[in-house]
Amino acid sequence: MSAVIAEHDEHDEHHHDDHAHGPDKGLLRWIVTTNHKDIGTLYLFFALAMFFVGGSMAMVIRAELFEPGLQFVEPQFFNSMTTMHALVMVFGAVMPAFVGLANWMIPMMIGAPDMALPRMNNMSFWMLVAGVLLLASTLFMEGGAPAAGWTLYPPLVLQTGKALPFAIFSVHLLGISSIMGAINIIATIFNMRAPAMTLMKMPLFVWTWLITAFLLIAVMPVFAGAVTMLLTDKFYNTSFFDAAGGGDPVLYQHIFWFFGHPEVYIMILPTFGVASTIIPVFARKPLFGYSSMVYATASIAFLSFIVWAHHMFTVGMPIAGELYFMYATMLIAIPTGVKVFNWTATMWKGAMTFETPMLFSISFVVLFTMGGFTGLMMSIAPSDFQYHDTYFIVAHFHYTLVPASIFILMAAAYYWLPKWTGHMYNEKIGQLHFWLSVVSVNILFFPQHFLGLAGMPRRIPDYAVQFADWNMISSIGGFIFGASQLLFLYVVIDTIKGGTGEKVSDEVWEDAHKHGLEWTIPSPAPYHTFTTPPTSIPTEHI
Amino acid sequence: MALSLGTAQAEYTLNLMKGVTKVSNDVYDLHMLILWICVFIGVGVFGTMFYSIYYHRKSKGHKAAQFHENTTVEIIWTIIPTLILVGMAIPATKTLMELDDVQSSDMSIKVTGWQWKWEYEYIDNGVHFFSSLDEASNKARQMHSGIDPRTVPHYLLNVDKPLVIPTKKKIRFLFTAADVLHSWWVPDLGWKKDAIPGFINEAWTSVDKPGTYRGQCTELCGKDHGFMPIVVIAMEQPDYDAWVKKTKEDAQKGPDLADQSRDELVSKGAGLYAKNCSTCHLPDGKGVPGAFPALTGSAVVKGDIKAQANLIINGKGGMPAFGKMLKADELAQIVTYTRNALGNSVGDDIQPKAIQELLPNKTAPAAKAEAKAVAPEKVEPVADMAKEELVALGKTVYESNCASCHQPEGQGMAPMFPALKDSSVVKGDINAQVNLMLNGKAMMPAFGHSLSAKDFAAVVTFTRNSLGNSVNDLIQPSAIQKLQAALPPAEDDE
Amino acid sequence: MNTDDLQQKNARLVRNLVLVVVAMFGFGFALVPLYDVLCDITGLNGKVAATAAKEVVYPIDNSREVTVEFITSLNESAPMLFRSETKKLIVHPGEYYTVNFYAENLTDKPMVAQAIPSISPGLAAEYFKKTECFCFTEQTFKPREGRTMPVRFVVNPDLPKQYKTITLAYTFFDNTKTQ
Repeated sequence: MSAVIAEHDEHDEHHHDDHAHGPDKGLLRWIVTTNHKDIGTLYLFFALAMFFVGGSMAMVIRAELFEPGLQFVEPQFFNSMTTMHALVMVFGAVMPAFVGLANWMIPMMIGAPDMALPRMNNMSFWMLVAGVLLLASTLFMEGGAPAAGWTLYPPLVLQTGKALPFAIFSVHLLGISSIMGAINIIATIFNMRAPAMTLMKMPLFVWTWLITAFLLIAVMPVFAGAVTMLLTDKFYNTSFFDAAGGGDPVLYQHIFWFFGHPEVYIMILPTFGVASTIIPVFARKPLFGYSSMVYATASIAFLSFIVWAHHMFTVGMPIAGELYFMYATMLIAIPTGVKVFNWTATMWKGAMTFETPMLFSISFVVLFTMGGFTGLMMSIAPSDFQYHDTYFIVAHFHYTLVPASIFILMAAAYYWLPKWTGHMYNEKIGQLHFWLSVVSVNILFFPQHFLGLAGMPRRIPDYAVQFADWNMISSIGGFIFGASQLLFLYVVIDTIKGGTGEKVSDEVWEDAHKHGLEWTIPSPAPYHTFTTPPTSIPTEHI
Repeated sequence: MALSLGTAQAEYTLNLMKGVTKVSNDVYDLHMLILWICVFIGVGVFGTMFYSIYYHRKSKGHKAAQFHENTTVEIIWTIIPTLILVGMAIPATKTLMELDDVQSSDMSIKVTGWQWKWEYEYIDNGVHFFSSLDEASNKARQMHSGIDPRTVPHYLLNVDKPLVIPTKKKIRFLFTAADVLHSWWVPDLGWKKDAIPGFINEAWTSVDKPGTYRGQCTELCGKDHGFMPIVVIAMEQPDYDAWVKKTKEDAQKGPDLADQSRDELVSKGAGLYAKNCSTCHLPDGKGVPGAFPALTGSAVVKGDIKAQANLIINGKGGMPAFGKMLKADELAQIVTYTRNALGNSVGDDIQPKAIQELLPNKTAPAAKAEAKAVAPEKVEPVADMAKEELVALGKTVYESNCASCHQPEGQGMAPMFPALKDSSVVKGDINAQVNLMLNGKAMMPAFGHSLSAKDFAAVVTFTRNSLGNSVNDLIQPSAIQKLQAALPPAEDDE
Repeated sequence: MNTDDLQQKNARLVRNLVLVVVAMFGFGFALVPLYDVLCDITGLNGKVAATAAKEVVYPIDNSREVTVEFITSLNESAPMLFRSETKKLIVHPGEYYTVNFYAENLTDKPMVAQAIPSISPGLAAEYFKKTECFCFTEQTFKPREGRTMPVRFVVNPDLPKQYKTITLAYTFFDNTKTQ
């Protein structure tokens, strides 16, 4: 440990440079780096940038939907916006942000000096950048960016202009990048843990990421296969999905959702992990039901493979199929319920304080549960015949993604920023950011439940006038939510530059050192940590 | 535009509608049951959480307890939700079985989804029509239309020809699609069903109360997905019978084949164009580059009038066959309109009678085949020309016949129109290229009959020695003439 | 831990995980035939066998009547006429019937077209046997050619009792351009 501290002292002389010791100088450092902290930072900044890119697209959508009639964009471009908004947010923002957190935190949480495969780590980041840039470039191609929805259903997607092969190739790159990231995470967790860190002592963030990584490895190749079939259908005369040649467009939906359902859990499981990490610290209590949390996560991951066709209740399945997928989907409510109850029990009789990370985490539990309730409603196949492809669905999955995944990413950023930078963020602005976000996100998405139930289909650029009022309210919420996120950008930059100027301790949060190894090392975390494995580990998190 | 809160003309709802069928009511009850269960659980969980947030805070001096598991509690909160789920599954299964039972229906209606309209075919009585967005909504929904949607009755939820069904009859719907996926949803009926090209799906309804019920396509189907509504009118049996009788009579009335003046054709054509063509080719005829060709300055519109009429009648690639949807007089009006409006001024017209002759003759297929055995006309031989002459002539032929699709510089327009520059066809065997141009391919029309041998040879030679290509060979008009003589006669010759 | 050991462990793990990735990529493609098998078993989507059934003699159940509807569609703008000459037929399970369909090429060019059958309700598909059908192979039409094509079928008497109406739908796809 003394070596680490020595490094830390040296760091302080290099004012405000959080990677003073070890890294190359200049731009080249960021291109060739194999350091898990550098790569984590790259991922997080990239994800933040994409969050704003995808968010701008959402602003275009909400602006067009502000009033009935077409005001700003043509329908085709509107469809490109909904498609690209989803692809950018899923593959460019949420997933990379969690990979960034994994890079930064997993080695520090399990007492490892770095990721197991540092060079592959670098490659997977740059492949992600290439993939997303390629995807973004389709916006400027003849015929426009893909506009068939993020699900890329044939035959419609085959009507895409020049962009189709580029979009598919970009999906391949993103897939390879995610798979490499996942392999790296599994190797790190399996082979790099400090000897004292047994599997059932790992922080839940590590556990949820381990399970997520297996999901990624299992389903990204299936998605790659599906889009490859689209490619050969379009250009090489195969007919996987073309009825004229004996194929079936519904087959694509089956393959897609075999990937797609686990994919949505890929975005939510690490969220559970972060929430399970943050809530105990601010409740000053151990996590309730550590092992049931692990088993619940594993059950959710398992169930995600056998429920895919609940996204397709209206395609005309035989009744036995519909019943099966309905029952299987309802089962997901059980492990998800266990998690929510456990978080509640963790707070129960704690000594809670409400710093920004805790605020975001609590609102995550509440609002994610609301998304869970609508999910349960949609699992009922006959009701889904009404809900399917309406704004009710849009409201549902945005509740599980924005005030859930995104809020938890915010919580994680506020929680670990002091550790990453060595500076305290501005709590006042953080709280302002939280309150603006939590109020506006509900103004944005709650009315969409009403719109869907009242009969407004999703993915339409214009609507009947009875939907006008709630759309306007939703758009207003959207603009406020969008603008509020600029506060977050400000907080991040401000904290990197020095924040409040307050010197943060190693554990940053009261008694945090009891909850995780990352709080036993100096703040900011030195460039190299745990070059020798820690001998004892905190146990408060289990 | 003023803020509309509280002034929207139609009432909005916050909840699912009960609908007008037994099934839709069952679905509504199911929805409410699950909703109340969720609300109940939510109040319990959030109540506990907020109690804890209020009382168990450090600022109130609460000391943290240190418990971190309790097997009994954990078992309870696993088993109780399981029981609740079983309680939900029972009514859900019942309703699902009811929805699934399409047998013993009184009548069947086939529903076909098109980009972007619905086709209805009454299997039992032969009534058949297309149903698309009504004209008022269609005008108002154009960008910068200047029309306030709030002034349009049933904006985006109205059609030109609604689906009419009798009340208190079990009606079976058969769904399919002609191009991409669509989905047919009328909330008042309680369900939606996907329409899939090449496959057939079924669903049923039985409406008790006469009335007008509106819905929309709910599967993303391209740019005008939001503009293909559904209107179902349920009528008492006698009213329905009268409607069937009237609809059949209208359909049999046939077109008005009387000659019309060009002005008359053009003025009537304007409305038909807006309704049938402007979705793709745009109201001003400028088209969508890369997807839908422009009509303004189009070689097809400026070319042979019968060739254009034929293309509209039979369709091509993504363009539907309008011969099946419109009558001869309407087709004549559209053709004449496109040639004398939208920035074109060809200055000719076609009469309904001429169109009627071009329409596929459904009753006498054999007669049509006989009409073909007409000998090709004799053509005067053509003198050989130098390559430079051919290229120079070819350039003008190219500009009027090929440039609108393949573009003036031969760069093409992906994905519909391939580039000619560096094209493997153009750089390949000259006879293969000639053959392709004689007979056409996919979207590309057959030029075998529409170009003279001289023009044809010139344009082939031009493409191979210009537009960035330098194959450095040529073909003589005399060679083309021989090939043209061997072609089957075009309809124009009949 | 010894660095060489660790590298070996990592290499082994990566190799195994890459194998999983490759296997899952293959699994995506394996879903294609798997899906067809599943369709055959469950009648998913009313997909029907694309080959002729053997003409077997079934006991004819004269006491039972099943209505068979025949409907026709054209995909996109397949320039054809296509209709069934019989719209509806009341059949006895076990008895063989032949119905005619008429299709005509409306273009001046040869046309290759494929008819795709679909049966509704999907679960009845496996009881609906076709011994002769123009849908088993691609059909080539000479310019402007029109012809009548027969379909010979039988409804297997094992058809579950609840099915009273079966719809046989054909969609013609113009495959000329992909030749």
